[in-house]
Amino acid sequence: MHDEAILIGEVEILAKSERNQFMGFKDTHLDSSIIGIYNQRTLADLISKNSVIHVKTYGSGGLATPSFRGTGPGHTQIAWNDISLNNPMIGQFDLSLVPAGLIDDVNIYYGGGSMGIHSGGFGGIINLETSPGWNDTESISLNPALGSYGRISGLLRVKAGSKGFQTVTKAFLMNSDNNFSYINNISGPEPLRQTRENSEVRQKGFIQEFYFRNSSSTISARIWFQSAARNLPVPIISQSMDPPEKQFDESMRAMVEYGSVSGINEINITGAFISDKLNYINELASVDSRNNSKRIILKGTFERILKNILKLELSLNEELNLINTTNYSGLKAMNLFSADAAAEADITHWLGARILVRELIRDRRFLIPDFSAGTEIRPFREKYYFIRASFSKNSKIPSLNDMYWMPGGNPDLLNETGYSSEITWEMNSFPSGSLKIRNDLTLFRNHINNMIQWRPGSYSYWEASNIGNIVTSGVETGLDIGYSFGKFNAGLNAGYSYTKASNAGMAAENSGLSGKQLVYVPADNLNAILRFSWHKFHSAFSTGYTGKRYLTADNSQYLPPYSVSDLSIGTKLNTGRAVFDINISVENLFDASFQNIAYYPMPGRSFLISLVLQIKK
Amino acid sequence: MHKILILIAIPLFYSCIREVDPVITDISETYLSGGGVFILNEGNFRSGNGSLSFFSYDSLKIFNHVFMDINSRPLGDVPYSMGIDGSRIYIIVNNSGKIEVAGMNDMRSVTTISKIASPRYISFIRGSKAYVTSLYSDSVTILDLASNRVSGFINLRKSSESVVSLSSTAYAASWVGGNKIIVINTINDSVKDSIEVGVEPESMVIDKNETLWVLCNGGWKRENFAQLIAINTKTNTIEKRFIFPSVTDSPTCLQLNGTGETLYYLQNGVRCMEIDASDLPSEVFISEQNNVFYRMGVNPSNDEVFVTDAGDYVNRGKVLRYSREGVFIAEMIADIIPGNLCFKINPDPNTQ
Repeated sequence: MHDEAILIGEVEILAKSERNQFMGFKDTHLDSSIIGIYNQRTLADLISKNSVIHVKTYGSGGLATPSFRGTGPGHTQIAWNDISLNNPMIGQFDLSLVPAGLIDDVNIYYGGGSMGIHSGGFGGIINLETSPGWNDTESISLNPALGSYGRISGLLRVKAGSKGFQTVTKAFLMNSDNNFSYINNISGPEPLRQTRENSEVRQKGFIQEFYFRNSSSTISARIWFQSAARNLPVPIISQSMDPPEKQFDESMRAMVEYGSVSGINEINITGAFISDKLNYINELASVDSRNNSKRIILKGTFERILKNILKLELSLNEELNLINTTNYSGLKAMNLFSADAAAEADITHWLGARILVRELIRDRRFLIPDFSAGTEIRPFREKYYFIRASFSKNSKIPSLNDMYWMPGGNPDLLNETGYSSEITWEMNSFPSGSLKIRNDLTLFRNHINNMIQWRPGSYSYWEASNIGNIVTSGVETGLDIGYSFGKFNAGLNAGYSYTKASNAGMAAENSGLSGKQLVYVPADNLNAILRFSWHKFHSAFSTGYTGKRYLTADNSQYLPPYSVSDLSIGTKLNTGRAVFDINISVENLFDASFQNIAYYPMPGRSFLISLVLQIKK
Repeated sequence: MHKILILIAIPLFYSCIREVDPVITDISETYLSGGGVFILNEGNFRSGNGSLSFFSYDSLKIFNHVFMDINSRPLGDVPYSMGIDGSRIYIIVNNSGKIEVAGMNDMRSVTTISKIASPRYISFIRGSKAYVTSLYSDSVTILDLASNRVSGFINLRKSSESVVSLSSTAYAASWVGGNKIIVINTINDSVKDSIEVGVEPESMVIDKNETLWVLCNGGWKRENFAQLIAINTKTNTIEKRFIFPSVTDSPTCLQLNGTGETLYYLQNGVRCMEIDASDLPSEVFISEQNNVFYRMGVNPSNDEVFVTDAGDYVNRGKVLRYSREGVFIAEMIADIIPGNLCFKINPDPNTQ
């Protein structure tokens, strides 16, 4: 053995650590190898097929919203590099608007773990991350694709710079007529094969990022523009509209971030501006709804590590929301300020804990503090086995539509309050150098009070009010296996969740709905993706099962379960600095006829051929 | 490794054995031959869970999902109103843009008249044709009842809601944002006049004196007072105008009893007034108590009052039955958002 130190080049670790981001809380990670399979698909496809999160979608190209653990779309937060993207008007985010190929990493934080990034995610938070990748300083990647139903799309990535400066440009374009065929079994006694029309989608956008760094600090500037124009098809049981309903979405997101590490101290300061425009036009009903929201966000975090075992965090978050819409009475604003204090400690070699306390101030009104507490036990010193348990109280501020929509908005709404508890058992084992196995089992329970619901009011319109309570509980389990032998690599990622979600409290008992499963919350959700690569060839097969979803509160009607599988096969050719990757994928391989939302049919078997041309320096 | 496989296999197995058949309402078709009340359950907009219920006087029971159970397909999205012509019923399915034609006594589908722009109400014109109003279209659709096909349109230049007919004249109300009753010559299917009334004429009836009563609810913004207006159908002029006392009053669902002498409407309960009354009723005839009344109808053969309660508009609602004196008789569970009612009169008056 030599004693002298050997200087090696910088190494970028892309794999996720066995340790979680927030000690005691569950998180999962979708890395670039999985995201790459869905480059030409939307985040809705990526999330729904690679996690146990249920995504409600109104068909190909239609609104797609995530739902964690039986909670609603408004209880799921979507963030971009820790900045919430949920539209303040509706409190949700449409996953169908973002192509997965724009994102480098997806981290999913469940339950109380989401509070480390933002409040209000009772189910959890999906954090979309874009990063420089300092090792790959100069490259160009062009990724055109052609698919069924008139789909044409393209994705461009350009990276340039040096070890201290990076510029990353990503741009995408997607057009699809979306006139897919489906089985109509409600128009008469015999099923008919018909063509879905008025589903046309046009999307475009880009992300431009600049990164600077020196030995102790980094500065980044990011801007993300995207727009989408789409026709909104009606449910097949409804009369089609001529002209069809249309929706235009346009978002501009800009972010500047400064980070500095000095010894045991770390400071991060982020400023962001987010502008969302959503116009809905229904000529037949004489509706021309124009909605503009602007958000200014300032976020500062200070971290200090004491004796390598205790990390203290202080975080301040200021968020100003400004809304200009035809649906409110005048301009509306809402200011949110939060102050967090958190401590995370490795108490012993087998025990760690984290606690966070948050004070939220909404328009100068102090709210009852939130908190989250988690503990992590590592029962075996030499093994990556973990027991994680957590409990948290989280608050969701009402959306501005809930407060100010005309008519029916209620400015006196209270926050929704969620209590979440969970316990996770996770095992990571390495039977051999070429085999890695990880599996986990989680039990969770959420209790949400003061649920905001729209009900018929005193007059002829509906009004928002804090009415219901819901309880969701269930089990999640996941299994990841990675195996490599020579030029053969295989990976399996599988997940299953069982979710029981129902109304609770006296109102539910009096109406006989106590214990009934909430509508559109499947009890069973299963997905698995199996990937192979050998020499130049690679393939992925994914399959998913979504259980019965009730359509009525009394559970008398439901959509049947469905199972959908996809297959992709490709070959990667290296010619010096250039890499060609040709890929053919078949979605809904077995041509299953199914609906995710009642009377919104999903496409049958479809094809997509894509080419990745990458040139590196 | 075995443990891991078991962890995955258990939920898979569990998911396979949990399948339970949906609840199917056990009904027979025979109940339809007697008298009763059809209840249009609107269901939730764009959810396609609208349905038809029938309360049978023979069994004093309510039967839900009647159309679905007999024809093995859903009725559609927002079944809104219906009419009876001879032995056939015409169900206006608003957001499906269609009219389902079925046998009155067996509910078997005869045909579906589709591609009607947002239909709302139907009025039969001398047994040979019908007018169908539209929420979105500026025209009334003319149906040929012999062929059950669209035979033409009458351009009103505005959308229409309630429609009634008398002799050779039909009256169509321009509801959304409107304030006019369009007078139509039913012989040549042309507009011959219009009558300016209050804001948003919502419902209409014609009494025994052939007076047209129009209930204008004042609009949802509550900027105008609601009005109940009596129109002389011979001169098409306003004879009486009752203005509701508060701008927040929002009466709906004007109905008439079997003899054409008493008017009923909903306003914080059921209210009724004689057609020759000089004032609006200050007291409720049937109080809501713990219910929220949504729609109502009066059985023309016995003046029983049926009121629907849509509840929270998400779960199944109720139908409440009251005697002609306003005394509560029974409560029945219908389906989601029970709305308009249509009475099926048994030829034998002793049975209902």
